Amino acid sequence: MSQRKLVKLPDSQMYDTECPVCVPVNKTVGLAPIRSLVRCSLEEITISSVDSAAIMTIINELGHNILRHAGRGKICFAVIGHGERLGIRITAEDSGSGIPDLAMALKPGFSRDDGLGLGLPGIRNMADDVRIASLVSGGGTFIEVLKWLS
Amino acid sequence: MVPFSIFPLGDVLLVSIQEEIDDVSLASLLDLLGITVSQRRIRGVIVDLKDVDVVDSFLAEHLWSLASMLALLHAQTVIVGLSVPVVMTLLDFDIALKGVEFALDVEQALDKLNVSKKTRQVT
Repeated sequence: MSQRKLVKLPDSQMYDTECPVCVPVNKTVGLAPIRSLVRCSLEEITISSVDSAAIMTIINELGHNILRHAGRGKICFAVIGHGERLGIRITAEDSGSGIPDLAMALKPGFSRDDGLGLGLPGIRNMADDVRIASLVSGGGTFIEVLKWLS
Repeated sequence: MVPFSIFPLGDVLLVSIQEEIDDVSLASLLDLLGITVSQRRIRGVIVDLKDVDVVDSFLAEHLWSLASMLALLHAQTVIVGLSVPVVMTLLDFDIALKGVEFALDVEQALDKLNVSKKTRQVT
């Protein structure tokens, strides 16, 4: 049985949060371990196929960001509850070069590597809450994503 | 094992992409398709994504690059097999994939590319 604990989030509400499971992401293992873990976790709860696809897409985006911009990092995943509501909390952490301009990174079409520049804006569209902390010059990036299930 | 398969259907290629495809494999696929399309005068490439449960901005970027490259080689790209949840996430991501054509399944894509029934049966 999973261990549960109450966690106070910055908006002062109490969430009954299962202990997050963290999985390393690097160029050797790629995204397969975290994808497999999340898929198994989602199979244990009642979730629509649209929510499931959105969560798997968010995991992919965060994982690819780590691989492209930092090379290695970790992603943590937890199912959270608030009353009757269930949600997913995902965090991605790396010690890469950081995001120099957060406001630009959240604008659709902006990319540091000639990509489509839709990753972070897309995550923001799909999630209910996104928090990003980034320290340039090797300080790394921490992204927290919260999505309530419909 | 490479996470994609390529089947020739006359002068059209059917590319089936598997779920766990990574950036490196996608780059190899693009190279391989570029060479094959130019050498064998392929006029259409059908990309089947029915085994892919996530089309994120990275995969979309590769698909867009593929379609742009093939257009320069005078070949058409048709993407098939997108599930409804995947389509919904593409909309959330505002991924338009301009210049790429879509069909519901391989049969409809073959119709779009005017592949004769005879060619389909032979292959």
